[in-house]
Amino acid sequence: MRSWPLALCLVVCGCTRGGHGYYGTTQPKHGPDEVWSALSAEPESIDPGKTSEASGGNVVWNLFASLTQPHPQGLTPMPDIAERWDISEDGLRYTFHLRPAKWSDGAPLTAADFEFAWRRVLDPRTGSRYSSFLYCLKRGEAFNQRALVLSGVGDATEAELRALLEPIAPLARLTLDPPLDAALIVVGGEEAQRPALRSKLLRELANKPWQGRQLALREMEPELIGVHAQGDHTLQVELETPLPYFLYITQYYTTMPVPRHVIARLKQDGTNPDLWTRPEHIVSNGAFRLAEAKFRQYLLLEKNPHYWDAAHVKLQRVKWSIIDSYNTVLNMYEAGELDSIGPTANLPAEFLDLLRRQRDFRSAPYMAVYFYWFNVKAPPLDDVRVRRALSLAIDRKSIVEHVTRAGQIASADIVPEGLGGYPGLHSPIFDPERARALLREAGYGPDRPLPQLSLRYNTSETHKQIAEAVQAMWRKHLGVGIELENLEWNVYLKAMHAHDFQVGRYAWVGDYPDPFTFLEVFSAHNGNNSSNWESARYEELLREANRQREPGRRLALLEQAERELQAAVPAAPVYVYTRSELIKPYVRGHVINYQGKHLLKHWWIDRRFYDRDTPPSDELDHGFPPQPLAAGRAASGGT
Amino acid sequence: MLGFVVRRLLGLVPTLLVIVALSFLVIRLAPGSPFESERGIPPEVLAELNNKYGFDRPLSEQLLRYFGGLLRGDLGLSTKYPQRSVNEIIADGLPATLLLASVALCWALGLGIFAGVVSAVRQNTAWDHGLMGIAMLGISLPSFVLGPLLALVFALTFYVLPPGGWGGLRHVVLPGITLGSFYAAYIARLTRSGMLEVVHMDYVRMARAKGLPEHTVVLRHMLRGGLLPVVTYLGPAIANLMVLSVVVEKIFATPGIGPYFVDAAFNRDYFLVMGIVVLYSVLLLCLNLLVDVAYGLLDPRIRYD
Repeated sequence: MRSWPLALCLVVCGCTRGGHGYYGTTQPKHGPDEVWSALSAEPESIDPGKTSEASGGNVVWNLFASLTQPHPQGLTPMPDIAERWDISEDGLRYTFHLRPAKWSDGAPLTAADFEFAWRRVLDPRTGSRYSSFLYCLKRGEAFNQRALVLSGVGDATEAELRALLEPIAPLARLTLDPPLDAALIVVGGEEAQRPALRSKLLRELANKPWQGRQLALREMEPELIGVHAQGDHTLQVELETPLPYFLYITQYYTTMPVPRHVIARLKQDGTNPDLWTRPEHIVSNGAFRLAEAKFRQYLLLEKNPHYWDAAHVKLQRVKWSIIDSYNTVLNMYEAGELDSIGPTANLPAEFLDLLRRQRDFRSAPYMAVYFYWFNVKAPPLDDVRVRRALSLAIDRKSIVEHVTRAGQIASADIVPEGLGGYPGLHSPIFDPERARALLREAGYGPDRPLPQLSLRYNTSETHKQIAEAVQAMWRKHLGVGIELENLEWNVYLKAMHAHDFQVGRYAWVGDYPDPFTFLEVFSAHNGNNSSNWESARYEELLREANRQREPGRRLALLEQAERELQAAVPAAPVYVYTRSELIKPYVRGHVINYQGKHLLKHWWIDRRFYDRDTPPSDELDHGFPPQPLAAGRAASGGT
Repeated sequence: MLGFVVRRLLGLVPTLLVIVALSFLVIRLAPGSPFESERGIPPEVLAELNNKYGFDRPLSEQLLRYFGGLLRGDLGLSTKYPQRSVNEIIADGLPATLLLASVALCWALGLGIFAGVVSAVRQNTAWDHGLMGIAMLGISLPSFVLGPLLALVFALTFYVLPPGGWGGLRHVVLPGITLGSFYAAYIARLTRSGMLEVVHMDYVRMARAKGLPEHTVVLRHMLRGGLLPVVTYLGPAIANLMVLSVVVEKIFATPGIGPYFVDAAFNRDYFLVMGIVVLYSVLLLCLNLLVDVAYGLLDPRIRYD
């Protein structure tokens, strides 16, 4: 009843739009060295070590520069602050050679800044939500878990040490560390008791003779983490296990340096050093620096003249307005108040059919998968045949064509096809016949129907529509009754982490273009694996894959791991996301990459749009640098 | 009069204390926490975060500390925006909401009273029917329809005003009109009925009998009595205006405090929720007091003793 004026509004909109096939004006409202874009939320933090959401991440990506940078199209790592790098034969040691670089205040940027930043991320006192990103560093995880170092253990076995320690305090982890002649100990037990338990251990084992050895227990020092500056321009990185995608990690915002000198100065002045990212203090090292920020209104970026590659940065200013409502973003884009809807806004679904026909509409696959978790310990879902039947009875094509409608790719695979050269499993996306047969096999039929299941999702119009479609499909093809339960986001996350569900909606956004970013979610000790599923063979395959130095062999092992996963059906993938954007034809140097990053250093304004009534053709070279061949050792600069 | 105001102000304190304590407990009863995250946060980091905000202490102690902070005018830290205190967040957003509400109120009062007076004076003419018809439309059109319609016409068809954002007076026109129109319509109807009520009063007849010109009768004598219902309505109206600005602020991307009502609760940003509750409670209680005072100023029959 309430929606007819809106519908009318849409119709009127639809009739009046579209000069030359573009959505709204194609004349820039600002100078040729400027861009106006949008963020759909105020960044929670623009501290590289602390940011954990899309708005903050996109700001950090443009304000700061890490060791490597993604190619704007393929995201392959290219040199940034690191001029080149060497990788040891076993894949465990990376040596980055840094170019002479400066912070935006002119202070020199050295390897020590990276060392400081990475240790800071892993320090639990920093409160970095993404600290697990650096668990790949040698002893990184241990430091983040406030490990204690028991030195002088010699050739004592793990069991012997446990026998010594566990009467004093429960242990969450004990790992022998032969190079240190020590064991790393992480205290377990009740969360609130751990500080007391640690002190107790430290007291009792401060200096203890044991089996003819002299044991000494101390808190772990940050210097033990596998990142060390050697001089001003060399950064030594040691990894816990070989990670063929490690260079992708070094382009992520969590690994960007923070200005040690500014933080130290604030501490000295008695100001809270956490406030160093405030506009009055912030110093960055990327292509842009923060000129002005008005909370929940806008961020103003200006070109950083001290950036090493400043000669290739064409924009002088970028204004990022903060606008929550996607409809408002669309209106402002149409009126020319925005050149791009920005990296975080989505196009309203009801406009998609209209927008798709515009020449400034762009759409590309996005590295994220929509899926439903099955709780493999909740009957009747503890039977793999039931899980497989449910998965096969989802008509994925119909969901992407009739419900989501933004060009998503129907897929039953955990890893999207083509990710880092991965061929993809191409699992069957819909087979109701086989689904019914599986249910019969599991002993369910007309006389013994499957009990009603509950499907939980977090409150959102899209999730609701998809859940309703799935509910109808399961009823139609399998005769299963589904009760839909929507929970508010916070409550939902809590329920999922506590495994309090039968079927639950989820989506995973990859962190780097490598199959591992999706497969690791299903690892037993991954905090995001809500399914209760675990498999020793799966873990072994993943480990084995990452030990491989030959990319083809590695992908084959990862494929085997995914098959293992698909055989157990802990989740039913539904589709691979797409990202759709509108961008004015006069903005060049932007393509939608797999991660939806807006890398403004490549953007520029096509001046021809200022002095002509008819816009020139938008077929034009963006002027991107050539793509490196592949990640890893073959990457440019590597030896 | 002064005694009345002081007494009422003192009476606000216990009311406020109860509101704060109750909302503090209610928001804590909601499941989930400010640090719930899609990607699990490592336990030691989580412990550190809880410690930073004092969430690891007993609830009673937290409440006492909150009251302590309140006395010093410190509303605590936001968990969503760790670089900002709640005081700063409110100080950043309040001017925008206040400006928006003032523009809306001026629009509502100006248009509403004018239309109401015209309709009353020209009762049962085409003027009356036309204006009251428009008022009916204004009351029935929700702001989430009116807002986009205004944006469509003024921002996207004629390009005279921006469709959103903040910066100058230009940015406040469309959201102000959107927010104020409902109240303009309501005030028009209230004014009209108020005026019609006093039109046969003795003092109006007296004024006419004295031979005063018609506009003096209407503006000096009738309006003063006719506006009483509008004044009564003004207190709740201003309060509503500020609360309803949630919708309008979202539509026009106005950086006010409206959206925190919903967002802060969803994010379990405990101190921000409390800050908004405290702010609005104080505001509502004071508005009620103001209405009572204004009532006495307008109606000579009311005395505060």
